[in-house]
Amino acid sequence: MKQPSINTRMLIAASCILAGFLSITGITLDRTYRISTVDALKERMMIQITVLISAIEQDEQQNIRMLYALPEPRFFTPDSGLYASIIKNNGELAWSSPSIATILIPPHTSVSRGEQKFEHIVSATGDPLLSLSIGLTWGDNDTESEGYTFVVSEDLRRINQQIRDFRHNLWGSLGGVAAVLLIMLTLILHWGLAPLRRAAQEIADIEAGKHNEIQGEYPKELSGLTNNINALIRTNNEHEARYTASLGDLAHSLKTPLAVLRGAVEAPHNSVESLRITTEEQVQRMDQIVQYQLQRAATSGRTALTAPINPQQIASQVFAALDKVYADKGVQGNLTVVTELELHIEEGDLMELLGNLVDNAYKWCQRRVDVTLSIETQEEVSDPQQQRLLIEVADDGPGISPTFAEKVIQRGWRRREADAVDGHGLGLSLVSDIVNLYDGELQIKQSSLGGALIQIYLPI
Amino acid sequence: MRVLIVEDETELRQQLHQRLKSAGYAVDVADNGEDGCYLGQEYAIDVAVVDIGLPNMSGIEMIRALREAGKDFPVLILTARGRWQDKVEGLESGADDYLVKPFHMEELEARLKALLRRAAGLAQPTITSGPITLNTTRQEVTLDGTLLELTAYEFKVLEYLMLHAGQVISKTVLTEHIYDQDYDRDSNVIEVFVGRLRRKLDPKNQLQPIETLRGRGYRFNMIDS
Repeated sequence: MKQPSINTRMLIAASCILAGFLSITGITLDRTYRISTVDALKERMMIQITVLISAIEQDEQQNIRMLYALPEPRFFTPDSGLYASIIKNNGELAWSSPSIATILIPPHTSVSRGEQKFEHIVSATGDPLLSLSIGLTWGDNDTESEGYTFVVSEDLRRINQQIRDFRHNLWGSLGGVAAVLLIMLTLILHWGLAPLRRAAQEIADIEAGKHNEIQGEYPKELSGLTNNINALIRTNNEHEARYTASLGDLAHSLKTPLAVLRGAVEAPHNSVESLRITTEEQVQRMDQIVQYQLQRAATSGRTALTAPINPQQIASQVFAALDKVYADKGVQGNLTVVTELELHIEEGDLMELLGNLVDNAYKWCQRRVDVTLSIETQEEVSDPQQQRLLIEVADDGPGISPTFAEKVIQRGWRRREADAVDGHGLGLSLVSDIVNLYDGELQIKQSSLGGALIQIYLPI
Repeated sequence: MRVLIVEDETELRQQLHQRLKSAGYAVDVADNGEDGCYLGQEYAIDVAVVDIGLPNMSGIEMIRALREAGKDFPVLILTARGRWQDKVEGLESGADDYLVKPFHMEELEARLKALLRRAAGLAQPTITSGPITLNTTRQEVTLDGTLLELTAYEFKVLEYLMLHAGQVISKTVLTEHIYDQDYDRDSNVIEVFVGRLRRKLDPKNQLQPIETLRGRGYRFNMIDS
């Protein structure tokens, strides 16, 4: 299924939230307005009925009469929407307001003394009315049948129209607000996602071969990603260049021994013994070339996404491995960690580096190999930010004289005594390659144990 | 000594087989990890040569399985990948030494000898017991400095007994460690070898280096010089 775009996702989410929020707001406001309007109406009707009660008096003949005219003119205007009537509890109409001219209000059931009730009724013409009835007697000892029911009714059409108008206005404006907010959100999204679109375009350009890397300035949320993509592209290019160079070198340098072999086979008077010697020599040479070139190509080099690793752990693994291999020699290997820290280096590269160095030390030492991991001292470096990791590998073997210090890191160079010791003369050369790849530094010195001291500085 | 070779490349496996057989080893071969694992668990292997890059079950998995099954004979791994990461992984899985391909057969034999010596707790290629000296590298035995003429099987029996000096070794164990898996095993032959060895090592019957423990086997007793 096609994934919806971030833009669509945000708009759908915002629309849902907005719709929910505005609906709840609208419903609450509508309900509150309706309740408060009806409450106000009821309160008004209460005042009108109170005024009516206080304007009426009963004479000795038990007839009711009005003491003064009611102040509300709508009682006197026909069909005004406000109606009053006084009904004896025996069902006889005692008084009704002049406003009840043509309208027919259904007869009310009498209400007992002191009781009051609101009810929704419908006039004979079908108009909705709200009526308030209060039961009353004049004397304290009057029976129920001697009481009166005072009724005030109000036509609800006006109030209902008022509520409808309010509702119309309310939903209209809420809809308008929603529309404005969504438009604003769309604009904000368009503006906010612009760097992402730009980055995608730049990556497409890189794929199309128009650029080599992402060039523009990006906000800080994206710059980490774009910088890492650039670093990945750079590392990838470096790797590719290294593979190409290694394969080129490999092909080129294998052709010479192959030519020698073919020549030896084709030479008419070559003895089997001389052929064997030539083959042995050339196989040795090809093995050396293959090993060096392949291992050099396999070196990863620094990448922006290399996870930090603990050199102490790698050193311990290398020691454990070499202790097994050189078990007969009984080498005393010491690992000293002055400062424990993590390094951004590919694990295989560090293992290759330490493996070759410590293997050399085990090979050449008498009894003892010391490996020290520390931080470059303050005196050696001006800027503390530039401090590097220092790996020192020392042994008590014959050491490397300063005359040979340059030569030992060349590929295939071995000291003459080395014929008795297994090896190709590749170790230090590979170490030197790895150190260069990580912008480090390699120094060959004399150790206090009497043998060689190899110092490797690596940026942290 | 019985060696197990696990290598999937036919040519190399045959070369190793021939070479080690002529060097006096009883040789078992397998071309994959599962078979190697089976042979390693079922036979009395003294040392194994295992290629890391095997199909299906890798050499490393095979060594791990053997170690988990309690097999502690030394293992030499052969690897085409010379990276230290591969070497360390192999050694961490339980191997004891490694050789990067291509290698010299002499180098392989020397490493195997060293592993066997190390497994027997010896630092030197020679084992000396009074006037008797056995050189595992040159496959020679001298008595008071004079070279003894031993057949290949006589040497194998004596080497195994001397590498396990002080331990009682049954005829079955001796047979298992000096013969190939497809060899017709006859334990009476061992008695013949031991009889001949006694005559050659101790013509005057004074030293009595090989003791017979009735119903249990033989024991080589070291003689203080």
